[in-house]
Amino acid sequence: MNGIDLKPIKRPLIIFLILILLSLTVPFLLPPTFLGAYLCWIILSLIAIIYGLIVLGGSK
Amino acid sequence: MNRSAIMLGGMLIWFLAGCIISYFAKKRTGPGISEYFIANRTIGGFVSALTYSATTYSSFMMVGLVGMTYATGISAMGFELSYLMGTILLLVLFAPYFWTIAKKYECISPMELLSRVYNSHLIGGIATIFSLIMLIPYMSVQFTGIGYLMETLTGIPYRVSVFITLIIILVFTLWAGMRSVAWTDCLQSIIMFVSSILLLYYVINNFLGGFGQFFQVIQTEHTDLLDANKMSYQRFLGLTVPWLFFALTNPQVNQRMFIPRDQKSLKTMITGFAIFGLIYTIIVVHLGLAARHILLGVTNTDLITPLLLAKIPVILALIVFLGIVAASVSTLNSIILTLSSMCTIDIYSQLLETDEKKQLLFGKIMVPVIAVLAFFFSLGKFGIIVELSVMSSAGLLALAPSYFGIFWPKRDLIAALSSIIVGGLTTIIMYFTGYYPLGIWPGVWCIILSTIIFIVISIIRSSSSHSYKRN
Repeated sequence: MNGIDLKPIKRPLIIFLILILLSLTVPFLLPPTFLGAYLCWIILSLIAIIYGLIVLGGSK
Repeated sequence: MNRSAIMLGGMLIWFLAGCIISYFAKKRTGPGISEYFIANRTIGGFVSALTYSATTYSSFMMVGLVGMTYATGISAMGFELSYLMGTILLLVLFAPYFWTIAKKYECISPMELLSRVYNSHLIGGIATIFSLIMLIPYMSVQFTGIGYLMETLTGIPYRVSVFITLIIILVFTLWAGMRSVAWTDCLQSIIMFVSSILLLYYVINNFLGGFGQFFQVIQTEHTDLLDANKMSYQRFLGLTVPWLFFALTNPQVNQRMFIPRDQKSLKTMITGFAIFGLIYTIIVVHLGLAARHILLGVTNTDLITPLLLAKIPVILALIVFLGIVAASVSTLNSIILTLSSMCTIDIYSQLLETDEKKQLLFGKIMVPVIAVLAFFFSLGKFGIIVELSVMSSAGLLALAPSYFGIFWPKRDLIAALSSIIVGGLTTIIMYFTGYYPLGIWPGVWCIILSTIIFIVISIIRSSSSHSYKRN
């Protein structure tokens, strides 16, 4: 069980954590319009999903 | 035909459709405990995706989140989409490992995985009891939700409504275990998805004059709803942080990482869930925004969806009503099956040396026992139930460090047990006393405390065992 190699997930883990951190902070600084926090949360979610699919596609 | 009769008729048709699916699932179900609780790891990607989605999204979405958006605007969407991102992270990066380890060690329950990794059945047993304490009140709230909705829309008294729900769940669960639950979840998730789309389409077109008009009205007349700061940041974090780890800490979704037949099916499950989650969340949030323009001055936000249903044609109201019932039922039957598998594998089979046949019988007995416990909780309508259910997702966070510890060579059993017990008890005490140090919500404290305890004790015990070995 100790032999699990987590190196392959290090980079995606950092990218995902950045995306989540952005989701927990940036929208609160944006103006109350559809082009503000609303769009920011949707775009961040889309990026997370698309990036997730890329990571999944690349994993064996 | 009056509204109540149409609702009851529709519900009967839905139940019969579920029974037919359950019957065919029974025909496909083989013998054995692994077959009953995790369908012998043979579920395809598409079904896995739909059962994962239906299990994750309860009636909270169509009732709770619609109401929350009505009151706090898009910050509710931020909370739900942040949760989705957290879940995608956990599934994409860790689910393939969990699936492989669970298959290698032939784990059936999520707590069995912990027992195997930490080489002790004690952790599995304690985590099972802990999950039971946290999830039974949560289940009873699902019962309560359906009971009130059914009473309002069909006229059936609350207690009878809750009893009918109990029977439906037992039929869908007891008969053929996971295969039946997974297959009926497909029906439920399709109803949830289609009903929400139909409702949004009708509401936007009939009350707001189309989508173009909708965005204009919200932008000009309800600008406050587009402000992320409408919900206090502490509340936002308090709600979001526990949910970020939901895929790992809630056993009913955690166990779904075990059921896909291969890695390809697991990937399909993750992809399907991600797409379902994003679309479903956006639909539900837009319903909440639209409701703000349609229904003015509603203070009890749990009533937003029932009030919307009263304003739409009866057939559409029926479909949405079924969507909400389907969401609750699919969450309930998954929790019940998972908890019964945990009671069987992590407690019963550890206390008594019995054969697989007796274990399976015990598991099947536990299904109605757990369901009836939640049923009685919901009949009591104790005020405490709501607090307990709010507490459940925060309290279950105490399990997160132990799960992540699977990937850490320095993990330690005592550290894992301490983090679960201290983290869980701290959350319970905070919720009951209402004392939130620094204004930070209990869920956030729980993950901070349990992580620190897990890391510190693991390191101390690891270094002391090394020095002992050297001496």
